[in-house]
Amino acid sequence: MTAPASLSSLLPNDVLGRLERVRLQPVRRLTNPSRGEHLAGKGGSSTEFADYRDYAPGDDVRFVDWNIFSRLNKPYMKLYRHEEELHVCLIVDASASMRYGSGETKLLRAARMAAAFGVCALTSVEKVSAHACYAAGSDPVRLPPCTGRKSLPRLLKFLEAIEPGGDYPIEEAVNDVLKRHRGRGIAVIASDFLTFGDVSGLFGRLQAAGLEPWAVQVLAPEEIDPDLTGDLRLVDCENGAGLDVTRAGDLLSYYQDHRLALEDELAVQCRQRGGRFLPVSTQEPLKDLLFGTLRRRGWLR
Amino acid sequence: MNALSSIGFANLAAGALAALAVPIIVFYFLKLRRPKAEVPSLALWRRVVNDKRVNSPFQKFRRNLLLLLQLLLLLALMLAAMQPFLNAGSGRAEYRVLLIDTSASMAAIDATGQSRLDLAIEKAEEIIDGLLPGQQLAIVGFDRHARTMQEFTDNQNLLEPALKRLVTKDVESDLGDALRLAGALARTATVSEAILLTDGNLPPAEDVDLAFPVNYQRLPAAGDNVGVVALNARRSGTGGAQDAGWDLFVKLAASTPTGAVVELYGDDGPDGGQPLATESVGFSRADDSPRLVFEVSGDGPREVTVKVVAEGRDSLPADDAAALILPPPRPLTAFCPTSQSVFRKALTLDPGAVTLFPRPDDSGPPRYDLAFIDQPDSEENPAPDASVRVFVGIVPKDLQGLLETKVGYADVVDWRQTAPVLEHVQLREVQITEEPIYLEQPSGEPADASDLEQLGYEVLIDARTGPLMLRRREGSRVDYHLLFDPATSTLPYRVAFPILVQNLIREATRAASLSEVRAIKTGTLPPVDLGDPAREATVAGPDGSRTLNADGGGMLTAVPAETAGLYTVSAGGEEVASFTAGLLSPLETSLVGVEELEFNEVQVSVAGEEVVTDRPLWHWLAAGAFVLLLAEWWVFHRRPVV
Repeated sequence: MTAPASLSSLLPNDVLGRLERVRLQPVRRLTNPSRGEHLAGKGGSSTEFADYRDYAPGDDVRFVDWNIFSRLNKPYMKLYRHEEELHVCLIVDASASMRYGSGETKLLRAARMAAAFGVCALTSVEKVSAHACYAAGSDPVRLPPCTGRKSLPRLLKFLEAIEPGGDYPIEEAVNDVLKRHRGRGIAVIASDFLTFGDVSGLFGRLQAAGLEPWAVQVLAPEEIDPDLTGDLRLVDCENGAGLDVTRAGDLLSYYQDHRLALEDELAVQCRQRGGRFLPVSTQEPLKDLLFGTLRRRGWLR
Repeated sequence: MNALSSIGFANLAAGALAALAVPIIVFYFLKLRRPKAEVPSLALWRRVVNDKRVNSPFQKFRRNLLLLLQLLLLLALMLAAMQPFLNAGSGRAEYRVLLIDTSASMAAIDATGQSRLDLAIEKAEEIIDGLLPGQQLAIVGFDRHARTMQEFTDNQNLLEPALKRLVTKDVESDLGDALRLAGALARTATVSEAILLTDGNLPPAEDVDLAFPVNYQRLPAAGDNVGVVALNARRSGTGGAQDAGWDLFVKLAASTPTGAVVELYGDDGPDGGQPLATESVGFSRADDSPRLVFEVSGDGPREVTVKVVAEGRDSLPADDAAALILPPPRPLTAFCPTSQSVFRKALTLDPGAVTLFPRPDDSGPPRYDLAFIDQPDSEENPAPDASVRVFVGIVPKDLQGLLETKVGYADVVDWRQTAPVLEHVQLREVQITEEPIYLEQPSGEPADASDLEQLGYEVLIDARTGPLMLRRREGSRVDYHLLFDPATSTLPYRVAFPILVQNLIREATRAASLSEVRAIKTGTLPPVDLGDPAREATVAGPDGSRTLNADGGGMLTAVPAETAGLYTVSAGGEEVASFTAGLLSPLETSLVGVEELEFNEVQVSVAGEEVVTDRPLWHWLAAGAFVLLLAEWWVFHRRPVV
């Protein structure tokens, strides 16, 4: 008996199965007031009671608690929790820098992470949209918002089709995504965040748009611990710019300092904007990452 | 104050090499190929580089380290090609003569085992190393003679071997000869200075006109020294006695107050025999010259060697021994015709001392020690051969055109009392009835003593009108010419007559080495009479053997003997003569260096400082360039291949 074919090349079936049983856990309940599985604040239309308040003219009399009215002869309105729908916006950095990585490229790891979050969202009847950001000046390739399990293959196919290339700075990509985005929820940004721009504004704009920034910085081992020595001309793969370095080996400690400083900055910015940040190495096993690290850090439940 | 005060350049034109910096810089940037390494983003690296630039102000410098090394290499090569030198401050001397003493004292060894000549060569090498382009040096070595070791050149490959050829000789030094040779060299080029490298063991005055300044560089003294400075032997008994022995007189000298042991060796010499006698001697002062006397019996050794062993250190081995060959005793052989009865009677005053010929039953030996001749020397009737000949009453054949004798009263007006033959001879009031007269010459003037001197005659006794006695040396032979017959004078009745004959006997005895023998000094051997001008002789000595020809008189002369030791002259397979030469120089043994040399109108003192020469720096720069080249090579090759 042969094993069943995998539904996606991004995630094996067993991972997909486990992902169906986990849910996204936003930091705040800042979601769309329309339908969804996430219970938001009072005033919703779910079956879960929340509170009472005085009746005011114009209120829907269907929510008057008639039992209390009969006992007290005073109308009180029953308040229920909202069953809110999250809009999970998956933003995948598909610039040329994401093709790096020995074994698994950064783009593949970013797509897998996005797929995982997308699967969680879709199986939780949340709205999911996906954006692949290639080149500056061209709009990100977009998967329109979709919901329900039926959208799962579509989402996976979209993510599988992303190829690296281009020079889209992540902050510009997010700006372009936000121009067309509607709804509150979570913005999952899978990128290496290696940009010359300012990433602090990026998270502020997401927060302002009602999106909780979940930043996943994907780096290859060559970036985490580069093996460079001697006099070199470093060439940027996205724009071809060169930078001459002398005795590169002596600069590695400075490089590590700056890489860790970038991580700290991203983490602080995300935390300040009510979001989350996770640095990811492409070498880290996917299952450990999804069902270990993300769960421990409260990204999933 | 250091005279080396400034830097000069011998070849400023080489500064044009600096222009090579332009292509080096151009090619450096054209050919700079850094390995490319593609990275996902330069975002982090730009921050790193900017941060590093802030933290490391020499980052730009390090980026172009190779270029910097190449430019430094070019700079070092350019400066080396410009041939910089530290200027000595006295102007550039272009032609200099290096006078290096090679006399016996230069072999003196100091406590480190280094001889004075080694020191001189070291200093000369420093001077040669300091030669700059355009500067030339000539090397003259001198001992008793000066010789050009190398004429003016700036080629170190010629100068260095010339120094290596210098060796010391067991002879005294003659600075005058060296300066005259340097003067001859100065006629080929304008000599700016003569550098004299010597231990200062020189005669303080020389009759030399200097055409250039002399830089007198005196080498440090070697140390203590003791040596034999004179050795002679004198018969202790009657000359003809077979049992007559010798009194050996030894004179010693030392450079410092010390003590020594003097050993006397016989025929076996100091190398293989036991000393015949030993004597201790002390030197109370540096200039003390004690004398010792050893007695050697008549049946003792034929050759004696005196060796001095110092109690302390002895710097100069060459003067530690002297040898003497003692001739066997025999009576003097004399020829006197029976017609000269007065001379025959005078010759037999000391019975046994003289064997007189002719005898009725003996025609005599082929060569006499002393001969009295009263007949002209002619081919038909040749005069007997002798070391000392006395012609009586005969005007020499070659003087017959210059003077003659006639009957008359001759008055002695002067005689050379310093001549050995006339020592203690009183000729005043001697009456002579033969009068010598100078003949009138074709020029109208009468001949005089100068005409005789031109023919080799010395006037020993002068009468009012001409000479009465002449002397002529021919090789080792001495001829006396008494132009009057003593029988016709009152001389035989004077005490002067036996004294005159005894002086002749003594001179003949000395010539035959029968009464006194002196050790000869190194330098030149005494003339040896080979008897035949065509004869060839072989001289074997401590420095090898050589074959020499006799001169026109059959004499072997000017045979160099510059190493102490035994010299044997052989001809036709037979030993003709043998000599032992020794240093025997109080000056050389004293090892004293004079403070001041006196030349004609010029005095030269010991230079207070070393020879200051322009010091070239190019080899240091060349070495620096080599180091830079290695560094550049290392920096280039340590770059990894990415």
